[in-house]
Amino acid sequence: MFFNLAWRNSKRSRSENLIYFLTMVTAVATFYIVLSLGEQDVIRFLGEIESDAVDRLLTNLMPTIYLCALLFVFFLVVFANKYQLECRSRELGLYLMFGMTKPRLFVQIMAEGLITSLLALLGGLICGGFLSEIISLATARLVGHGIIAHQSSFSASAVILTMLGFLIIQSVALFILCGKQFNKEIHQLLYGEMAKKQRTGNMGSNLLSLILGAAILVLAYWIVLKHFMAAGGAMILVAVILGIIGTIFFIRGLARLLSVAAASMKRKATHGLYVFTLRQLHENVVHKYVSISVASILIMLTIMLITDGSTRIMSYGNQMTRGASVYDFTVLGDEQIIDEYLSDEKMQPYVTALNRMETGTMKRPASGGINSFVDWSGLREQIVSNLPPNVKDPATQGAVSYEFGSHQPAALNLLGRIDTTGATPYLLPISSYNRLLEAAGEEKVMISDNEAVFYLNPDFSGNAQEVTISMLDQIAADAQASGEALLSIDGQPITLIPAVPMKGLTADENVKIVTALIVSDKVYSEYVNPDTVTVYHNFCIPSETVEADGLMLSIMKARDLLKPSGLYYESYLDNFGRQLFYVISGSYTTLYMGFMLLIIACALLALQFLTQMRETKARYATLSILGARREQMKHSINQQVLWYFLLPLLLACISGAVGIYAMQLYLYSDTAKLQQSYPLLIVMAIVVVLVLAIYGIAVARTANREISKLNWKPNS
Amino acid sequence: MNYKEKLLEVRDLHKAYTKEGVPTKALNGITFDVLNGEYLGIMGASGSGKTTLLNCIATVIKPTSGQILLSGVNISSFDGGKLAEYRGNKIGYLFQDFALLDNLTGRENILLPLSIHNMDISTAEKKLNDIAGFLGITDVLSKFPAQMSGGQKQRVAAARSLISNPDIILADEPTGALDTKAARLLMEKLQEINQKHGRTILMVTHDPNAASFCSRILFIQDGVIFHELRRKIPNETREEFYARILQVMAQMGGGSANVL
Repeated sequence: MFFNLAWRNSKRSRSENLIYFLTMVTAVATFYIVLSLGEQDVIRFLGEIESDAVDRLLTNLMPTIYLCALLFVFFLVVFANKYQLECRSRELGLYLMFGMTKPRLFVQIMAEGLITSLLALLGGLICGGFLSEIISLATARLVGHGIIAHQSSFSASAVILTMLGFLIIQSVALFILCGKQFNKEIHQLLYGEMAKKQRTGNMGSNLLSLILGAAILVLAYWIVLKHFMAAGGAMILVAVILGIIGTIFFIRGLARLLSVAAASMKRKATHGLYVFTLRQLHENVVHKYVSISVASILIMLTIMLITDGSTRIMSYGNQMTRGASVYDFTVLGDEQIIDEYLSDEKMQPYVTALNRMETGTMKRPASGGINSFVDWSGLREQIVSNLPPNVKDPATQGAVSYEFGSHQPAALNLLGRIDTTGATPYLLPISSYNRLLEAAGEEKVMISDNEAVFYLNPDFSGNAQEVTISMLDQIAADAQASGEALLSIDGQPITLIPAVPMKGLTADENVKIVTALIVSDKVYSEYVNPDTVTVYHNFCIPSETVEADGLMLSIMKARDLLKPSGLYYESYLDNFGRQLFYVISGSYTTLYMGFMLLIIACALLALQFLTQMRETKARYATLSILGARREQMKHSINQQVLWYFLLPLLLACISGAVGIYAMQLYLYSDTAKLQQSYPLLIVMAIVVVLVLAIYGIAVARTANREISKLNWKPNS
Repeated sequence: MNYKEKLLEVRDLHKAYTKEGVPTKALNGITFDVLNGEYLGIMGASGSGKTTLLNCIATVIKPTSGQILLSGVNISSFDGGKLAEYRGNKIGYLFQDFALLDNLTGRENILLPLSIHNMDISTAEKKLNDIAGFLGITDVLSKFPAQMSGGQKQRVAAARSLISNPDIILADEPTGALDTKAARLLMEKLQEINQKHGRTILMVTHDPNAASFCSRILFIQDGVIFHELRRKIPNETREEFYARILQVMAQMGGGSANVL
């Protein structure tokens, strides 16, 4: 009997609140996905090569995200259950009237909640498991190039944690709400609260709220755009707080606009249910402005997070192409051991174009007044002449520190490099660099003792690379043509050779050589500081092996062979893995949170709307008695739903756009990153709009069904 | 007043509800006419079928069998657009609980039936002001229902039922939620609407005081007409008519305790 009642009640609440139930199923699915991340093929693969970072991701970041998501879902659960319990207040009152004890009633409500939760868990875990498997397969195929073997991504611990988390928030929510309900008198439960006063909002304060809200929002936008970095990030906090306050005030003030629109549009006042529709919206905004504001803020966060996630995927996606890197492996350590290992028979199929690359910084003059052997003044002059008219030479401005980045002119970046590291630049012997060029399939460069090449690491200059290199080439070519030496080493004039291809020096992108001078072997050995010399052994995997096994698999095999040597090695795969890790951890978490917040915002709006719809159902009955046709009422409801979703969305779009612009301005070093991401962003925008549309349509359909249920019996 | 022309004809009206397989007869073959310009009251005990009758006429519920003719047209055959047109223009409905939309101002509530039928505003404004002046609600037009008294709400509802010039006003216990003073004011206004403007009113009530404003009263019991009272106009005073109503109520069930 007890179970039957609980089962029937939970069934009724599920069908009455289908949108809420489906949102719960979605929430469970996303919980499972985030918790089973460790079992995904790509993450397992990354765990092998970047175990520390992956551990940090799985033990710190993901649980935090899970807890945040739980917290958001908790509020949604509280809200939805509060509404359901209030709807059933009369029924609960009757149970108590008939002598059911409060503890017994509490147990029954908990049992109902448990049944609904278990069903949501069942649906959610099946969907989550299925989605997780698809994501695992898709990402492995997308990035793994066939080296990542597929394993089932099912995780028992994820299932247990999901169930625990979800059941706990459901129980806590019901516990709090039941306490509230049971504290009421039975009479209150049976006959409800005193009729709610129709709050229309004070017109004057609404207008003030609208103006104040707009002003605060503009102030928040201004702070974000102009003082993003000020006060060590404290200004961002100020902007966020102002943004939240501004949004709440602005949405509250919108009631005024809607009221004015309803009262003033005389021409339209006799047109269908126009005034009624506006008044319904007006009422909703007056009563629920906090929820609408929260939804707006959540949608804004969604827009920003999804943009950020997409941008990460696209920009790291670019970096994951080989670009200027030539070598597959770089090995560091005792030269003798390296020689032995690399010439070993087992390693032979994996080693070609072996290049012993030696590099070090230039030594300083032993005595005398001068600080450095190099005199950059000629080159500096030329670079300064390439500065845009509004930018001055930092050296004449008494600059003590330099900024680098593609947001400033290439010439300024270059000057910064020369001024900071110019006294003791890195030196590279031409023989090493020629072997590198050879491995890359480029022509060798012949330079004499009074010639040099200004080396610029292509991996560090990002999108400004082409501009910088072509500027340098132009300067060097002009100087060469006029027979001018742009720099001198130890008083000896040095001519810069233009148009030498710039390649990555090692397979290890952690090597921080940004600029260097490539000089003849004689000059190198004469001026290099022996204490700073590092020797890299670079090699490529032979093309025959790559053709036979594929690049990734060959690198994996070579890594396995090198492992017992104790040597320090980095491979293209490590770089690839590192980049992949940034993509996965960065984009996965931001996209996940983005969509999670979107679903919560949508569910919040949907539940709020349907709550109001049910509370005011009698109005539709009155309308039908007054002769309103069903289509008119449906049209009115559709319009209400549309604007109910559009109001927070429009504000979120404005705030989101400002946020994205600020992120692009201050957080991304490459301005072009966002543009690269346009195709993915368009897809994401479509998905977001689709989610909103699905919720909107579901709400409109549910509301229309409610109207159909009226069945022309308003007084019954 | 032209009492000769039949405005509404109810012919052998039956309505049976089936709840959980048990049929209940609410109307059991009721037949009567409402003449043009008449102020007809319908009285009966709880469950006698008076509200069911009114709801059938208002097309809120469908009768099981029988006919309802308004100006000779069978309204049972209406559906869709015709039904909406009938509800909006041919009848005005006055509810016990006013049924004002509490998020609309008085003016917006009154204009709602016209809005629904996309009527012209210029003629409506003048009419609204006339009706509001007559009913004494001009100063509450821009207020929301929550800011009005019960009497004001019911008069706003009355104005709403009058705005579209309906052929007949159907009132379901219009004084049920009002205090004595407000109820009396409303009844006086309804009487004026009936007598001066010749508007036909069909009112369901269990309040003998309210019923005494009518020109004729039908008493319903168990779904059929049990008795009929006519006020002897112009000789009979309202007080005398009231006394006769009480007499019938006493005969019907041994006192008002059974009738109410």
